[in-house]
Amino acid sequence: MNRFRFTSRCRLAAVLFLVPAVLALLLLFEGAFPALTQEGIRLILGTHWAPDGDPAAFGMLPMICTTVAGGGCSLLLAYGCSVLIALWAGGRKPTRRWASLHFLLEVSAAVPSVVWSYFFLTAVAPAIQSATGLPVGTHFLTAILLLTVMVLPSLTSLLLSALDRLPEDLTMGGLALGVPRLTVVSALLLPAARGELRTALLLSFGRIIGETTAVLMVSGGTVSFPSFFAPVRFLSAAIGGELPYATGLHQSALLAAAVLLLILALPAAFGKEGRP
Amino acid sequence: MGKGLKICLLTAAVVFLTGCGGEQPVISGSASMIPAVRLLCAAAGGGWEIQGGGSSAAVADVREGRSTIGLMSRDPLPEELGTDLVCAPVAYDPLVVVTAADSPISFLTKDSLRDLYLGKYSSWDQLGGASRPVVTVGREAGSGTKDTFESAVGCHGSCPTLTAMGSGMARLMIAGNKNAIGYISAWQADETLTMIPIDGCDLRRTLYFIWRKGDETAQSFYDFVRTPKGAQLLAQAGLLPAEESI
Repeated sequence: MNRFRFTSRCRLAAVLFLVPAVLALLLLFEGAFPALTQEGIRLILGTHWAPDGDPAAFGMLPMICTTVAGGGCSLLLAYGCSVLIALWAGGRKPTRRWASLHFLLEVSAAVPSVVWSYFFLTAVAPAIQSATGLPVGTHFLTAILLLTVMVLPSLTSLLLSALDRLPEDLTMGGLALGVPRLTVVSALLLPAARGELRTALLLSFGRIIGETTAVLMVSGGTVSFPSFFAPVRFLSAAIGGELPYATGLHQSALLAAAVLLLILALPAAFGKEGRP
Repeated sequence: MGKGLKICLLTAAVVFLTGCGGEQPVISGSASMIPAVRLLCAAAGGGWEIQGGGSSAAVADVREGRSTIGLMSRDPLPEELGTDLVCAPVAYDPLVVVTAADSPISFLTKDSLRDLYLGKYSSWDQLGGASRPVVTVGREAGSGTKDTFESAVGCHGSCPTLTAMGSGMARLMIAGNKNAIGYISAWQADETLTMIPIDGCDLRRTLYFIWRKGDETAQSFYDFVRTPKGAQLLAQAGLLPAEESI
């Protein structure tokens, strides 16, 4: 196949993909329109969520704060852990221990979110409950830990492969100068892989923002402002949990929440920078 | 014609043809009625396709001809039914109040249950139970179970400690927390839960079939459900056969 035919087919494929994607977006906005016009700014500034109340209230601020704060905290935790793992593994000769770490990471990256969630709901949450002595074990902190565990493998994998792709001279040169390996990794390798680390972080953020099953199962489900030991509800969990029953303005408000999630996830789509 | 084009055509064929099924009439709607409807269909000799979709979608499905019978687990609104649909009570779904197997309390009155959900108690020993904190489990807005419970107990607008999305989550949340109390359909309660008798409170919701006026397939299935054999199958599924009829 010559180059021209290949490019034109790629273009055709792009159009075939774009048309349904744009249609889906239009449908989403159309569904969210009644809530956006009737409730307006109260959707994002209101603090009371009672779609079946009298009168109904559709304030999403507590859920927006939960999603943003929960996403931020778990991303920060996952970032810290992955850098620690990179410090341990970076710049080493690929030994067997190193290979088994890689294998472990890839296997755990492939675990479906419902498996992690069920494990957290039935094992980790009760453990947290008895360790803290609180009435419940499913709260904001449990959700943050679960989200961290879910994105950590892929984040670390991406980071380690980025370090792997750096020119070997960088490590060798540093070690030859007598610089300790930890310093080589922290002062040479990690800064050199900065761009890819950023991309990996943004991808993880997108995944955290959109994650539904996990936060639906372990965050406690009650709408309130985020605090570590309080049951909370994430935006995605509200959509996933209530949409099957919702009608009228309630349904429209949930679709508006989906638009909001989309906006929150935009940095992940457009924030990538080219390789340094 | 390249290989790529063939793959495209094949994919398109798969996508468009999966929608085309057989000629079986469809029953769709509330997930909480599906286990009972499965039993009934099997006993009636099969020939029905059973789908979920929720009570609200059931109305539109029947009106627009996608389904022959719609399943509703809440009272239909008059404007939903219009003049073209028939709505007939089939059974009652009794709700039970449950705690974990290791229960903090053995008995409650309707008033103390209401006050629990309104947040007036913080510890079970205020009601004569174990000295553990009170955790109330509710359901998400729009759930028929929630509507039934709150109107029967009189705790509309309450804010429970935990909110379960769906009955399966409710069961897991209650069974996994020895401080918790919650409510589910009786047929969903299993040995991981303890049922708490509630004095002076009839917790049940009515389950309905809806169909288009004059639809004989739907009418004959409904007639079968209302026979003694149908009532026996409903009871086997944990429901109470309805007393009234259309």
